[in-house]
Amino acid sequence: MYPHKTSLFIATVAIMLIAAMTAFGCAGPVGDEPAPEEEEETRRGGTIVIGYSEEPPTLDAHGTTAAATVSVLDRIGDPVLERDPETGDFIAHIAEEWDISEDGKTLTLWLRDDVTFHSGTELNAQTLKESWERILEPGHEVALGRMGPLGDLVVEDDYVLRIEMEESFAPLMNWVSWRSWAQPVDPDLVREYGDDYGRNPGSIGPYRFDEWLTGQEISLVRNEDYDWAPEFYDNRGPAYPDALRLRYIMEDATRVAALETGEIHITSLPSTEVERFIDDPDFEIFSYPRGGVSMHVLFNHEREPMDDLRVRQALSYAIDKSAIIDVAADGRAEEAHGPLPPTMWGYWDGVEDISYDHDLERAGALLDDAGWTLDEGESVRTRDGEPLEITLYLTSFDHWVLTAEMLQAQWRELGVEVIIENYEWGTVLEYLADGRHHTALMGYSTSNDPDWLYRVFHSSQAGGAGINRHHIRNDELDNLVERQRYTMDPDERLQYAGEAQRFAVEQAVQAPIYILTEYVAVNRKVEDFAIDYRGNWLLHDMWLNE
Amino acid sequence: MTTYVLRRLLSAVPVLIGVSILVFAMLHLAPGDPARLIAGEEAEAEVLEQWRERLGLNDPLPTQYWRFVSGAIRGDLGQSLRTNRAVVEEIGDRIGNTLRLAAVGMTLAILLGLGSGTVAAVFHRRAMDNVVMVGAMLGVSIPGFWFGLLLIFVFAVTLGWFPSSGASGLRHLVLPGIALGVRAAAILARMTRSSMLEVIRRDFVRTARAKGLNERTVIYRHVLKNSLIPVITIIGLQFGALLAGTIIIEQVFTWPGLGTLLLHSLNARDYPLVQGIVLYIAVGYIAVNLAVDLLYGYLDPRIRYD
Repeated sequence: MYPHKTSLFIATVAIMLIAAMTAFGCAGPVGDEPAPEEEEETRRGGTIVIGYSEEPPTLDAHGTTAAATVSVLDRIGDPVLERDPETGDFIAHIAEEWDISEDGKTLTLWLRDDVTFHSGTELNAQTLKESWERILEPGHEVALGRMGPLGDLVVEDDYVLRIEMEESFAPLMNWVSWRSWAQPVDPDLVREYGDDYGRNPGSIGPYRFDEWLTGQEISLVRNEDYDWAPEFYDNRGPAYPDALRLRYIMEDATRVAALETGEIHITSLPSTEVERFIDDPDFEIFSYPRGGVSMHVLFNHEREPMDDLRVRQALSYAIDKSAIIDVAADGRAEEAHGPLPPTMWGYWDGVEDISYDHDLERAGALLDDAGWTLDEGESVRTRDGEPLEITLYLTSFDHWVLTAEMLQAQWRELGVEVIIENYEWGTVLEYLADGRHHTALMGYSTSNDPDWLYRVFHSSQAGGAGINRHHIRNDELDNLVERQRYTMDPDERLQYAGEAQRFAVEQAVQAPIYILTEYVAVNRKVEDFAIDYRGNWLLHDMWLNE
Repeated sequence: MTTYVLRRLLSAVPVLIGVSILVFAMLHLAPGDPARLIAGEEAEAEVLEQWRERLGLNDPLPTQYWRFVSGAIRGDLGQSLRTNRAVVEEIGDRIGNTLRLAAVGMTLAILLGLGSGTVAAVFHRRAMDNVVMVGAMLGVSIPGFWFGLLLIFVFAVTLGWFPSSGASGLRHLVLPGIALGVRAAAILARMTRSSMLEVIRRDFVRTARAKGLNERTVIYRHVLKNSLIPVITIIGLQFGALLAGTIIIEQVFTWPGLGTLLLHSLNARDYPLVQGIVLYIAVGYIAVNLAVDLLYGYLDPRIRYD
């Protein structure tokens, strides 16, 4: 029930983890000394309360990609393959072994034979197949875009499942390891509740769904049968706490107050509150870069004058990222240099050498060269009597408005007039798909595979068909992101992804600005809370020390 | 009396139709695509189109409106786009909480408002009057969300007497109840005071005093009761304001009521849910106004309903 591996192995993992955390600037007690049996008992018990700002719309893994839903599914489910918290490499989990065919079209998974759903049903090739096929049903399309050219799911044996793709598809392993929609859903509960499954979910994870008090909280209880924790945890058996309560407190100030009163143990801090908590002995503060690139400027390559490389480069040179970070994010962010974040597998660090450092003179020269000149006594550049006026689309999310105003000021210094167009989110997305914008603010956090490059840069994804909101249609770029997508050899794939990133920076397809730093405050009563370098919360060693 | 009530109920019908048309038009004419919000910002065009079809967003507006109204008459307000649950179910989960909070806020407002207003009128132009009036001025001017956060800071974080948020027991009602009721209390206090001051100068009050009634009886039996008609009107109006106030207060205290639900569904462009909630609030408003009109007759028998 408890640690199977030798303590030497656990100690090695612990040391590796600590090294990884230090290397990535994360604090915290990761992988303490393995607990002797008698100590295990004292760790059991209690209820840990976690505060979130957003309540999930549903707990159906196939009904939404909302981050709020993922944070719950991550507790009640497990992915079929895990990723090493240190390296990001795929590691065995529910699938003990896997094999990708030569042509990259088939992935075969050999499953453990001792895993059960919360309802008691066994997880095997058949139930896993049913689970994944559910994604193809109407109403569950949210995850479809990420599944690529899926052909067929074939049950080879009780515990052997074969995934057949119509074409080779490099992100396949990534989707199998996805923490929300790719996790198995409990077939009995799906049958029993039908459309209401999202309020009565079940999977194979360390906690069972217990109750959902709408607008207040979701409570989860320990799954006593859980005996298949991933190898990077010390605790391989059931979770220590009796229960988890996930409380939804929208208002930042109220949520922070609840943290201070002890009503909740763990919550992420708004950047304005970090200063106050960082020296508080009652709390431990963890920080890590948010996934994806939190803020970048999209250039619309179909609209003049954004189709001119010199204009895009000039605008990029005119951005003073560190000034924007100070104002818009209270200094709590890191500069971004390319379309992918450094924490993502596939990131090419060459972007740091070729990115655009703040250089107003160079920016001005580029615009002069493009024919946009600044007349004596004027503040806006003109070409043939036409002023250099561009639009900047955004929605009023946190940080966004301040970022837009900073950009407006910085580009105005260059002699570019910026008209800020602020709309509600759904409206902005519609306008960007239509290509109404010259430039727009955008950010992403969910993707963790370089296939993101295909989705935002490939010509087939432009014009509302996907999320190429740059409206860029470039054969060279298309070729690179396609090869990235269909090449199975990881090293070769890295190379294509890297070249695509180089292209994106050299051609100033977009202007990356910053990656926000996330802060999580944890009450000291909670021991062994950990976060991996990509920001995933690792909660299976966590216990309440009261 | 019965005819009057029936007539009033009938006259509510055009109001409700008006409300439904207004809400429907405002939501559907504003830009923004709920299908995109549901399908996810990364959804492909084809998937989006399927969603629009499934949600009936491709039908002409009058068709969509008719679907909404005919469903509403049968008690079916459709399904929430965001959570996929029946709107009636979503509202049912929440409405009790909002009513509970509004009841506490209103009770507090009436007790505090009538009480302090009476005190101010009785001690007209004396220190007590000034204290009450300054208090009322503050109460009217303080923004609800700020006052709510102040209460949390003082009574939850610093003193630890009450929980900062949540809705599981009576203790959870105290802070949001105060935050909600204080503004209405202040308005009621000012109204009660001025209304009483007007009545206090009337001849029948002088007569009551002249025939030797003690001051307590004069104030409660004669002055207060005769001052109540305008106060009741204000209470009715304040109830509407209170429902609007719950939107902010519920947000601050994470109270799981209609207010937080409305905010959420507005952000998500959850058409059916927004329409449903606004319809419920409109019905509540109409009911309260009817109740107020009926109360007039009880307080002043000269008022007849024919």
